[in-house]
Amino acid sequence: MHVTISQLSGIVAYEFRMHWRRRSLLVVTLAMTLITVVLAVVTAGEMGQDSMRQLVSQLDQEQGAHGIDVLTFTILFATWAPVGGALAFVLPVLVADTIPLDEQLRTRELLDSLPLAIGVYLAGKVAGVFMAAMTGIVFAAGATAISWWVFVGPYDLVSYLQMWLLGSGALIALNGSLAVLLAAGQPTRRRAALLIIMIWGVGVVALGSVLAGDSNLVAYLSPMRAPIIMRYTRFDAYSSTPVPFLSADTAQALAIGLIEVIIAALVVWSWMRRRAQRA
Amino acid sequence: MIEIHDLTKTYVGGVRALDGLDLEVGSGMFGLVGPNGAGKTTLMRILAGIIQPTSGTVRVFGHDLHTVAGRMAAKALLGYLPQDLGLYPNLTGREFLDYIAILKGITEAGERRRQIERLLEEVRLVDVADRKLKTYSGGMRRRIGVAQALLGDPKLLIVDEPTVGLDPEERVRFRNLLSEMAARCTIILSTHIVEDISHSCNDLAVISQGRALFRGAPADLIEQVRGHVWAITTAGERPAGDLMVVSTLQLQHGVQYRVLGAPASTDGALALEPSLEDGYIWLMRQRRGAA
Ligand SMILES: Nc1ncnc2c1ncn2[C@@H]1O[C@H](COP(=O)(O)OP(=O)(O)O)[C@@H](O)[C@H]1O
Ligand SMILES: [Mg+2]
Repeated sequence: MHVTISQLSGIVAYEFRMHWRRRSLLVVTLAMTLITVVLAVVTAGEMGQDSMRQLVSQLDQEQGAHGIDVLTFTILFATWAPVGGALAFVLPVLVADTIPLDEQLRTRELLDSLPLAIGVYLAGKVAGVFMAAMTGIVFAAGATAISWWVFVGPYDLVSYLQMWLLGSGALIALNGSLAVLLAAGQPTRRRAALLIIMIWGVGVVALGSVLAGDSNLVAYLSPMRAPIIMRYTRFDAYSSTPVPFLSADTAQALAIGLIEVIIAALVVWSWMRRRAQRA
Repeated sequence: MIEIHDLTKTYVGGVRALDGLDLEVGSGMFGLVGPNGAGKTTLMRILAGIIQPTSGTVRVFGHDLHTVAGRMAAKALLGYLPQDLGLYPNLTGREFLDYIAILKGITEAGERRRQIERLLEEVRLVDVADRKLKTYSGGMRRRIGVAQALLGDPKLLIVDEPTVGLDPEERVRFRNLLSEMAARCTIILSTHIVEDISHSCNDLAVISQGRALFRGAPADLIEQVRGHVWAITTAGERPAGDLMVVSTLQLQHGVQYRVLGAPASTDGALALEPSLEDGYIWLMRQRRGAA
């Protein structure tokens, strides 16, 4: 058991390093941060900080009680939605090569000779992607939070962090893991990326891209994960009901995504076991 | 002790790489010689638990490689240097060794550090240990491969064509390193270069087309060719007889041939002390003749 935990944390730690050193994660993180920070500056420039604040308090008063204040709503809409989209669609393609790389670099031969269980290997690869991507998100969320606070004005930090961190956590855990697992059998990085682009494309088109959020369970199978990405934006900012921490459709989308990941993990695990037995 | 019984491996596609191989390997350094395609790598990959035989049994220190638990237990005792080792280009040499040490089950960081420092010294990579592996030369990659195989004090060390890509000096150093290791563990070394094992192995097998053609001490393989090795000097023409030319040397007044076999005439032919390479070639040639 002790050895298993040490192996698992070792894979996570070194996968983390390798993901960051391959640079694509760095580029995407910086791009996301840059976009949201520029948006803050542009928004502040267009509206002017004071007029923005005035507008918000005016709207808040006119509309009475509200689930989430208008500025927070605006910030989430402007910053989270593009980031959520990137996590749902770009990240999976980016991390698809996690396991195929062992094939391409010919490290698989050595790994296969080590006393390392397939389950530990898979869990380590998946968790490594999660840690690496999450670190990028924490950085981007921080930079974005500060820039909007400074350039535009104070807002509801709790709602903001909830959406960024929990939303990201969920999307990375679901779509990142799914991409790592589904591309596990590909021999090269290129093939892995192509496969994930295909699956994601087909998934979104075939399963629908519910934005409306009627509890269309089939549509929740889609890697779009609309109920997660749109967690706040689908609530009326002017309604008196507060946005729940976990609405029914978000919970359903999470549960369905989790089931997808678990099934993918079991399939890949038994496939790798069979391959080891038959090779 | 490694026991291999009636081992057969047929790859998908029908190539029979191993064909009813029987072999027992004790302690010390064991040489596995054979031409390219003989099945050496296939045998080593089976011993390392990477691929499964089509039929037959393999036991490594009593662990049956047929079962998952047996393979896991055997792998925990193993150091393996693949013929074609892949490295993570973005890790440094030291990081790579640490990663492999963790995966080998060395849980304690201090112990890992001690072993890594010792091995870096032994393979003389201390100076470049903190450079990314993608900057390593062929010889350096080879040496980091050797170091990772020695991590965790393996009881069984499997090295597949380890001297390919090493310069002569590195080759000698590597041989000495293995000889030191051989006091503590079983080493199986494969090569198609006979010279690699003539210096260091006390026990060897010659395999070809998935079968063992010879099993024994190097001296016994040499004995088989005694009396069939000749030096014949001619004006230039090939010496007559049922002969195989091993080497030719241009001299001022003619050409000196080193031949195996029976010369047409032993006048002017000089009987030579056979080498291991002569023994190997003699064996391969007789098998071919028999086939
Ligand atoms: N993965 C594989 N699939 C199919 N055939 C293979 C595979 N690996 C090796 N072979 C074949 O098996 C035979 C033995 O190969 P190998 O064990 O690599 O020999 P050696 O290491 O002695 O050169 C060769 O004919 C080779 O082409
Ligand atoms: Mg080989």
